[in-house]
Amino acid sequence: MFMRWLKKVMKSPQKGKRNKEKVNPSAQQSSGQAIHPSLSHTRTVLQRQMGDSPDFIIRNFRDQSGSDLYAVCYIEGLIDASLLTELIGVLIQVVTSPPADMAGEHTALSFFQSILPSGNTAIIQTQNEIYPAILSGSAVILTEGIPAGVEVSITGGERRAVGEPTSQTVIRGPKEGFTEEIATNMALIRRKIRSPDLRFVTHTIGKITQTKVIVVYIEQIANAEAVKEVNKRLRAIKTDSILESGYIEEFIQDAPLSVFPTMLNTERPDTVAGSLLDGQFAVLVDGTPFALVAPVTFFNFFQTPEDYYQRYDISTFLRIVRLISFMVSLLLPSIFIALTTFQQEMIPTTLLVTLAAQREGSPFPALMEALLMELTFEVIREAGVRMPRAIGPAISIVGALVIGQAAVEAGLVSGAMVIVVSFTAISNFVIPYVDMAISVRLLRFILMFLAGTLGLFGIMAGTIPILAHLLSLQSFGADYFMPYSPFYKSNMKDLLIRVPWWAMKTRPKVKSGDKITRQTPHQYPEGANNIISRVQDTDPSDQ
Amino acid sequence: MRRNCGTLILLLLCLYLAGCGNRTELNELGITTATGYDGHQGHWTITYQVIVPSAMSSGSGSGGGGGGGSQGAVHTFSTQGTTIREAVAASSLEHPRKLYFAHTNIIVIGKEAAEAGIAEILDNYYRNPDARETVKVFTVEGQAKDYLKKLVPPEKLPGKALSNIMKQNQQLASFFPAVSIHELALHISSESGAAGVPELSVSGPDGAKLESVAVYQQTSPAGKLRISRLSIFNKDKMVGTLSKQQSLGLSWLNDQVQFTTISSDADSGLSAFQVRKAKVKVTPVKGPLHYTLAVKANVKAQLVESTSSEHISATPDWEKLLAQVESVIEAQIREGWASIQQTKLDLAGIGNKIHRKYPRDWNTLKDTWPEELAAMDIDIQVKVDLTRPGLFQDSFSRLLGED
Repeated sequence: MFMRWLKKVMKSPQKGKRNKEKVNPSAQQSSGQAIHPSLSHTRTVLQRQMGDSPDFIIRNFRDQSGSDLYAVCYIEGLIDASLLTELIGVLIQVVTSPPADMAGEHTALSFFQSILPSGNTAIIQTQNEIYPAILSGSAVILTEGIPAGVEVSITGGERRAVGEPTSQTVIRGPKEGFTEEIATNMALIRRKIRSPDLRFVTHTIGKITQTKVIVVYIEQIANAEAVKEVNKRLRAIKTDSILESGYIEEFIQDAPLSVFPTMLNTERPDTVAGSLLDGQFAVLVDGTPFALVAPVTFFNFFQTPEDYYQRYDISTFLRIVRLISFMVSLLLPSIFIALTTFQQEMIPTTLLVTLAAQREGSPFPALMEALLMELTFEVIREAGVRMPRAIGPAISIVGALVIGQAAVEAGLVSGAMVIVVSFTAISNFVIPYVDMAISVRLLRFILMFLAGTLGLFGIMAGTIPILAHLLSLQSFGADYFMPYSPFYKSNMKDLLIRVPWWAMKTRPKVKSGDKITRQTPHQYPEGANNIISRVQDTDPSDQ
Repeated sequence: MRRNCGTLILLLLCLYLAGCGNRTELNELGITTATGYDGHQGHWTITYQVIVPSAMSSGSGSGGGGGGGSQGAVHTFSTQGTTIREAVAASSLEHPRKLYFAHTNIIVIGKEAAEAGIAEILDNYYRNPDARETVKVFTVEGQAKDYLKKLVPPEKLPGKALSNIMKQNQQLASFFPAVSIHELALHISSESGAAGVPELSVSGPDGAKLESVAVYQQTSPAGKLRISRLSIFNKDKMVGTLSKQQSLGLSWLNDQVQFTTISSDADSGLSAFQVRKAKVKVTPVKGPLHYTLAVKANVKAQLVESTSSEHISATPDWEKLLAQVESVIEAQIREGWASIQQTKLDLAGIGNKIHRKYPRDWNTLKDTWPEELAAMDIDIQVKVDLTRPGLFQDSFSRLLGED
């Protein structure tokens, strides 16, 4: 009921906005004017439109008599300085020794295109096309007397180098992460998947920000329906700004009001490459190192790229550990509250006596105690994230120690509660993807309230709806609890257990498209057998 | 929208209405580790041995080593009432915590109460969800409340310690059966209608000293709580006691021997055998006049001690040892049987077996069952499988004698 109301509130204004904004871009497009042949006129119009911005630069090239011949306009920080120098060199050459026939409009433009230092050029016809071109890091060459321009992409400027991803680290595996630059990110994926089947579909979203959003997938391997669906949803976004992939995620995910994420975000090109090869698609957004991956299932959030680089046995063990940590992080405080305040008979006698001894003289009920400690931890955690990097970790550790120990020694909380809360918090960090960890953090509080009021019955009354909700979720056509419900036997080999690579014959069903086979079957390594056969085959030289 | 919000808040408040009322924090619980019953129908005295949690944790705390003996880990008090639950309710007049019986380890039934009948106690245990039927039952010579005041050094919780003693005895010696409320109820409500319950007594002259924490400072207290006899119940009333040896015989007949040690005395010397596995099959066989009890015991044992001058590694002498053990076990079983016939109480559940095997005969038999039981014959066959002589072959005494 509450959810329905929330949906209504959140939906109604959205609808209105969409309708309004549909009109706007078409109106803007129709007002596109052809470029004026007079260079000085165009120059003043451009200057005015850009608001005399200091970083907007127009360089003029005049002949000896002082009359305008060419102009190059660009924005200073967005272009590569050396490429610009090269471009200007070419133009100076043209000015000092003009080629034979520069008469016609077409010949002039095609001449430029052939001698320019960049291969990425285009001809611009209208005034309005100039702005997106220069704003995306191109230079535009205008010629006196010709109502068209040439766009030369010389994108460059300051950008962050490819570095180690900070939010998702591994011990073994590639140490490169995405950057804020979408072209670099595309190249990082290309370098991992050298196949002509790798597809990039570009969308430009955001009326003001004009952000580039690119859908990446592998033809045939990706589920065609899912790719069609994501393109459709991306086209439907009408907003003025996209600054991070989180904007896109909120616009296109399947369950916008659920606490559980239905798209996975990653900073790692190898995770994206692996997902693409599993038949998923990725969405790259310009300006952020975080790419989105879908369709995902619940269990994807417990798999790290390292699982595939380490030995299969330890990977399997770690996956189970992560799922247990998930349960612990969701349920441990509530189970502790329920057992100590309602179902004491379920605690072994010795443990009960120890717990009771700690609770002697505790001023708060167990529920209050747990809530206080959990809230304290959340505060310390948030402070640790927001604080300047140099003092952040130190303060958070000291804060936790001081508050934890001091609270116990002052008799405000029982020692067992501190252990429960801190173990819960540590378990929460084991979940590899922050999105999933966050959803658990929220649900934990609800379950704690239920446990504090209804005991174990309350925990059941809380977990059953959560499970039902998880089962009802979908991500781009794939059920969230997929290999279990509905059940797919062949997907089991890369779920709780990860089988060795040579046994992983097929890609996960439903998530992937037509080409389901990954590799030739029965590639069991022959190494061990060879040694045995070498021992058994007696060497003739021995006799 | 406003109505929805209102409903939501009401629903949340309902949660508190439904649950928070019966929430009990751990420091509001009086965890009872042992309960004692004295008196009779219409006048009950219930004794509670309540754990004092703060005294329990003193061992691990940093408060100082000397403080351990200053406070007892249990607190014992008694209340009276016409019914058991009324007496429990009366505890609220003198005890600040809610008595909590789910973790009770033992119940102790005083002699007067046991002789007057324990039906009410059993009813109380089966009717209430907070009392467990797995609680071990003991009887005592005098009043239960005197026994619950006594400590079992060096253990901190007497209730827990006594139930552990019972468990140890069952696993290592099998002299007395460990009887839970549920087993007791099953036995006395069956056709045979009899049961044995271990009885506690104080050994040594100075039992009163056990009532003070000072006893922890003594290395060897003068008195000690120990299991000494077996009280026998006919229906819900206690009718007599059996000795340790008689009780062991009953354990054989009830196939309750798991692990015990037997000494055999022969002309050649003493030997000790450890029974590691025993299977006793007791079957009533219908005879022309009376029933005969066929007892077949299959025992696996090993030699653990010997002063025998026999040549143990030689087969004929080994056979002699076997025969010795078999005769000892047979004698023990016979002692148990003799006690059954003497008391005319079916402590081995033979009536149940006849009822199951010959249901029609049982109908005519059950009225004269005690007399029938006394007239029954027994046929004992013991087969001992002596598996190991141990790491040593002939006894050390024999070795010395040879020199």
